[in-house]
Amino acid sequence: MSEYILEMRNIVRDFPGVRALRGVDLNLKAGVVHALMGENGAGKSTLMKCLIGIHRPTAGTIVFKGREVDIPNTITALRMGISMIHQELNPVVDRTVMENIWIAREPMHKALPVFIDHGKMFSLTKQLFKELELDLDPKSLLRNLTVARMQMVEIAKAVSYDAEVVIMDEPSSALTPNEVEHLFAMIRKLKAKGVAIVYITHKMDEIFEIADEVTVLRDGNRIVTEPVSQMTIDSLISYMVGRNLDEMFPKIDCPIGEVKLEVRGLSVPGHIEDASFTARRGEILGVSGLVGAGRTELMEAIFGLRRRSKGEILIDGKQVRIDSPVDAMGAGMAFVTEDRRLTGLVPVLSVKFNTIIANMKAYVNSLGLLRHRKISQDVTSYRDKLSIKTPSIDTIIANLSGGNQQKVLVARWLLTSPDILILDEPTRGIDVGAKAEIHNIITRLAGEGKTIIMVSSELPEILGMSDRIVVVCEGRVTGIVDRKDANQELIMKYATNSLRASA
Amino acid sequence: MATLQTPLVQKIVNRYAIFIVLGAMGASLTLLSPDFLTPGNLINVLIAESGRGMLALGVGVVIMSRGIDLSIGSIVSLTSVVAASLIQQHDYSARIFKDLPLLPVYVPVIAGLVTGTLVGMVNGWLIAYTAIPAFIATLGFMIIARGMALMLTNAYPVPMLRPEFKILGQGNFGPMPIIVCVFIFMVIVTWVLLNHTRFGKNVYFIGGNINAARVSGVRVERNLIYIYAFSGFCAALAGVLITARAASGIATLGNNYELDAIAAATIGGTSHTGGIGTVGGIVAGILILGILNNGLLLLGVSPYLQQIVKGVIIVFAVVFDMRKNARKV
Amino acid sequence: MGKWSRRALVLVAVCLIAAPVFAQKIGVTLYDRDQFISSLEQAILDAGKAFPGVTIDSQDAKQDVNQQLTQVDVFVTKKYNAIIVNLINTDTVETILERAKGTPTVFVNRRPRDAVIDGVKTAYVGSQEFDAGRMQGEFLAKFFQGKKEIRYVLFMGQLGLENTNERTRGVKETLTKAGFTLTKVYEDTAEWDRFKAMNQMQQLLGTNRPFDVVICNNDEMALGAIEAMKSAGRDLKKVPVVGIDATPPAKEAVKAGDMAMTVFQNAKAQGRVALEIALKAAKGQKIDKFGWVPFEPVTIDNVAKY
Repeated sequence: MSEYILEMRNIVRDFPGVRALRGVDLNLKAGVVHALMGENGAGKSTLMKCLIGIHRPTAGTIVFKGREVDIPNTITALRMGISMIHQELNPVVDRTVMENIWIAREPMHKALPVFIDHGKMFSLTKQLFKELELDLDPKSLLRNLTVARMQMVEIAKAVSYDAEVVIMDEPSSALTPNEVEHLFAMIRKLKAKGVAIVYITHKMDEIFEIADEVTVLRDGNRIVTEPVSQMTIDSLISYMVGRNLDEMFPKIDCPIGEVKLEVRGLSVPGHIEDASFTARRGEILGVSGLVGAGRTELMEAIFGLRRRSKGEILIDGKQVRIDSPVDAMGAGMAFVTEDRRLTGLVPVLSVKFNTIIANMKAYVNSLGLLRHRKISQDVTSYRDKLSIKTPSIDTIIANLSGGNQQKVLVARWLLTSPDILILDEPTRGIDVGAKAEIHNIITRLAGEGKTIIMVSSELPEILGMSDRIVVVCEGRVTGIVDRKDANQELIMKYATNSLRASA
Repeated sequence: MATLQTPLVQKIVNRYAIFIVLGAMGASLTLLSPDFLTPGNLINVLIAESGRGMLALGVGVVIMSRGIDLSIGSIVSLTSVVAASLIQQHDYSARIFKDLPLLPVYVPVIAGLVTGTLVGMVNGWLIAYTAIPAFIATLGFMIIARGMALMLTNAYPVPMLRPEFKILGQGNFGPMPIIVCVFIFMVIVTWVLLNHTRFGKNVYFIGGNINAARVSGVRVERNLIYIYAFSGFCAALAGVLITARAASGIATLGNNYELDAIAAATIGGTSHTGGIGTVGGIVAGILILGILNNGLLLLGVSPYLQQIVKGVIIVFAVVFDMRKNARKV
Repeated sequence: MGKWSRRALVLVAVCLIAAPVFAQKIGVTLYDRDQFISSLEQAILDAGKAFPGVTIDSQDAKQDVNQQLTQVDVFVTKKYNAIIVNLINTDTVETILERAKGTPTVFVNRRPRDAVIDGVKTAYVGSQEFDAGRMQGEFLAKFFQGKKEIRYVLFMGQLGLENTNERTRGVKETLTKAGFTLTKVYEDTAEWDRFKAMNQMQQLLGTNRPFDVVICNNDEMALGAIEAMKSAGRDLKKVPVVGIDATPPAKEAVKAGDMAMTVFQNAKAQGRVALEIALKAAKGQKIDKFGWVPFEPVTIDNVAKY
């Protein structure tokens, strides 16, 4: 038997049109916390979902305790002793804490094993909480807990499987510093018991505090695996982003005009606190920050999708009232949302319809009917301008590639002739070629004098495209960096707010 | 709504809203009609609602799992004619099966229950493995089962049932009619299932968050089959007993019962977004409908006005009950 | 003119006269072959045998309006001389007449609006729903001879349907005209449903409100009321229950003395009369607008006949 409790060898996973994992190795030792790092989309969650049985690897082998295993579903993984704290899965909020923990393996009465033994369930939960030093009522409904406490329940649940491998996918994202300390105490206990832990996080400081080893993934490849002691924040960041900023970012310098948009002291309870910045005509303003830092919420607040508790928005120096997207559109703004499928596309409708949906008013004649010829003309012209690759404008948009879908969304908002264009993750999940094309479009629009605000999780994109960069961390604007001063390390430091600590 | 500072009284009102509605209706009917609060009348209400009550239990469980079962009314019809056709009197010339020997009374009962449960299982299988929406799968079987019932009988009633079968629907067990006893028994069974077995927890988990259930190791597909089989079983049980009570198999029996049952479960606070619902609530829901029908009958309200009154009270009861689910912003 | 040629002339003449008689073709479209309609259909076919040379093409539209329209189209294309229609939906009657393109059309059992019946190309054969109620009323008037007031329980069919309204009006008007005062104890719809009537009856019996009679718009509801009354130990000889339709179980109940009377709708006669009118219309003879086939009261005295 090797020194590893679990080995993932040469794991490949394909999704339609994308190879998410390109032959990744990951080796875990008992009693060791192994951090898994990488940018969004690097393949961390996919790799872990292959381990827990949600995805099946396209190729590669998993060896657990010296035996090659096949994990077709979650049940198998859990029974083997591999459990996971999922990042995106919500608990069942209308059930109690203990029911959520013992789901699908409730303790049964000894005499009558068809019935659940609630007394035993309660005492087991109590015992578990005592071990983990958690102060929670096993019988309270999850609905009544804070998000942080729900997260603690999830963690307790993962531990309760007596698993030998526990995967934690961003377990600290919803926790306060105190709660994170508590989480770390729990992790150390597990470590002491000989549990192998995979810890996924974006937060640099956490890695150095809790992890023993680090594996960095990028674009579905394993870049490096090293003990944490041999790493620095800077080396870690360079492993994560380390690609050359080549022709991907066709930034042309164009004249930057006067201030177009000004945001003053904007606050959204629970998300944004006192954010202020400006954006100029012809400028590309990058917005950077970690996932969950509040970038999207900030944009949504500016666009009237979220209620602000405080703050003013000025356009051309005049204060404007923006309480709804309609107000924002009236003020000349446009917003290409982060999640294309959730808030952007109507997947079953045609390219044509998806293009005009935000601007239908302009295509209604005096009888209230749609002017189909004009629609077709305009959609065709934007198809050519943005080189949207589609068999026809009547093609169902779901049949287009991600990059082309994104271009349709951009076209949609350009049809409203906005002065200010907000793009949230404009190139997420699309291939390299399409990325470059979208970057081209963005540059051109800035050249036409439009104000562009581009939110992106990809540092190279931010660095390559922006004239200035607003960095957000935990709901605050922690730094505004000029293009000439910007580099990855500086942005990362603002984004993790570690500048304060080290300074 | 600031739930933290909600006074105790309001908390109780919110939590037991539907029982308060039920109590209020009972109280006002007692005042309006001297015939209402008599043991005889109350038992009659129970007898009348037992069948639909069983349907409501079954469909309530389905709704808690974030599904719907439209086929239960038709399962009642199919069960009715299947059971009745096996137990017609031998001196009746127009029997469905002329060459059938004299069967013991449990044969039609079991045949009926198996028929309904099978339909439910097929519903569940379709929903679990073909991923068609429950609404469509069960709509299909609503039509298919009714069609089968009509085909078997040429749309004619199946009368002249043997007395030992009729006793199931018309007889008493001690002071209580058998049909009411069975309903109460099913209420207890459903309560135990939901609160004390893994199946019950799985119903809530699947309804509350199907993905969470799946990654936590709940065998979702298998449980969906159980859930719809349970609903089919409840409908079949109701079908057999109602048939015995009506002393005739009827292919149109149970017409629209699915709507009454779904209404009862909904009135009782079962959430169509899944994961929420109690047996107590469902029973309260069915009693509200039953008392409403009974009250309108006792008061001699015009049949046209009745429909308006019913609609208003149903909507009011749900609105009143829904306040407890009002979320914090 | 030679002998042969004279014979030939006679032959031709006979043919000319006989041809329209012998070549009558009648199309029939039925809403569905349930028990009642099946026996109506059989009556049409049987009656057809009495007329030599008449061919009858009978189709079942299986409750599908479109199929019924298609069947009419086919009859017209094949140049049938007359069509007998058992409507699925009374709203489609205009469309059917349009598609018939002037071919004489006789409606049977399901009554279209009177406005479309002209007595030349179109006629209706059926029974008058009002009469069914009237017969219940006549029976009850006799039963309650000497009484002044009748306290009644009434179970109606689905609200808003013609037969519900007419049957109800028939029984009430007849009793009122006969000099009785009608007092309502309970009156509601049970939607033709045995079980609904049974539940309502049981709850009503629980109140011990006295009543003299149970009037039902159909037999199924009457049988439901009877079940409830029997299990409550009520005397069905003193409180008569009356229904309509004379279904087999209802006839059994009449035989057993549980149901006081029911009303028979004569499917065979409706079929026969429909064919006779259709043949007349095909020949261009004058026809009546309505061919009324009377309902027949069924009591313990005559139930054996049915």
